[in-house]
Amino acid sequence: MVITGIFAAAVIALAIHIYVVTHPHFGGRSRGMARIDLHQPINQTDAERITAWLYRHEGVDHVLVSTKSAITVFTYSPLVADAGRIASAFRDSLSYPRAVRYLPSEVEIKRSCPLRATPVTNGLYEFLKRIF
Amino acid sequence: MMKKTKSRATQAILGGAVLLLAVTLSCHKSGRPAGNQTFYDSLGGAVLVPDPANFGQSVEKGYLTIRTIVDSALFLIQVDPVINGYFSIMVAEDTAHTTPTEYDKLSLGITNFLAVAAGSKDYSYTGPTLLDAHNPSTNPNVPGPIDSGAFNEFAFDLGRAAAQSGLSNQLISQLGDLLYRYEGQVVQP
Repeated sequence: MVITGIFAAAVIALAIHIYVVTHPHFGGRSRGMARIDLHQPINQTDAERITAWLYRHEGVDHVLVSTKSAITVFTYSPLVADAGRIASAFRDSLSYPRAVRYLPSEVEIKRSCPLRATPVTNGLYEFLKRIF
Repeated sequence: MMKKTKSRATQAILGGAVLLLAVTLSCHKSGRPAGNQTFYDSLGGAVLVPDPANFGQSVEKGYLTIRTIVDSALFLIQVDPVINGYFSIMVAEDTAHTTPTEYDKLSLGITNFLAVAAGSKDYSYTGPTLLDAHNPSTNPNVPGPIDSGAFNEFAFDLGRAAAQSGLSNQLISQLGDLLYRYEGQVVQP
């Protein structure tokens, strides 16, 4: 009985170790992505101004502004930043009156690349694969 | 009787500790022997390094390299009007602020796919095959056949991201070779 209990405890400790080492954690690194279409030509100065403005928001961690397509993309921590508010403030604070946050329709979402992982299933699969 | 139980318990503890140590050490892989090197090995392989995105966690160096490239590529793809329509889900509204986000899932899915394709033995891709995912008869959500122009643009954006991540020209070329192995599964008649 004692031996079984100790062995079970060792197996559980081992399982926790493997899980912690291998499981993809999203709590800290989870990021949302938002896109703002400017619908007007922009130059490098605009791009730098927009980039600086977006980085001022807490939770925004990466920004890319394309002068070629006049599209701005940024990633943010969904636990800290609200992309909708940032997009609204963007149009109000900067002189890009035609700027619109691009939100895909249900049809566009369905048509999107299906190579999306389901982290829980994926994590469990990897976890079991490592044990057995 | 008591003495015997104690002795068995000590043996079990020692056995458990040895087992734990053995598997812990097995987590620190040293990669494949030279001469049988995969593309994944060339990208850093199974050597565990601190994960810069997850404090206190480890990640395989090869996987981290691929994830860095994919995350950069997702930005380039989203500002690229030629193909951003295929990836619009990653900028969908998330009113519930749930995690993981669609961006997280796409990053993880593509990273895992490429890691496995590159030769990783420790990660897995559990999504649909590229053939099924891009075939309108098996995936009714596919609007139509993907043309080679769109595939080339995807490969181009991934290559640019790899260059930005500091990959050598030789490794970028190998990444291109890897991608084009799947062209026939994505670009279907």
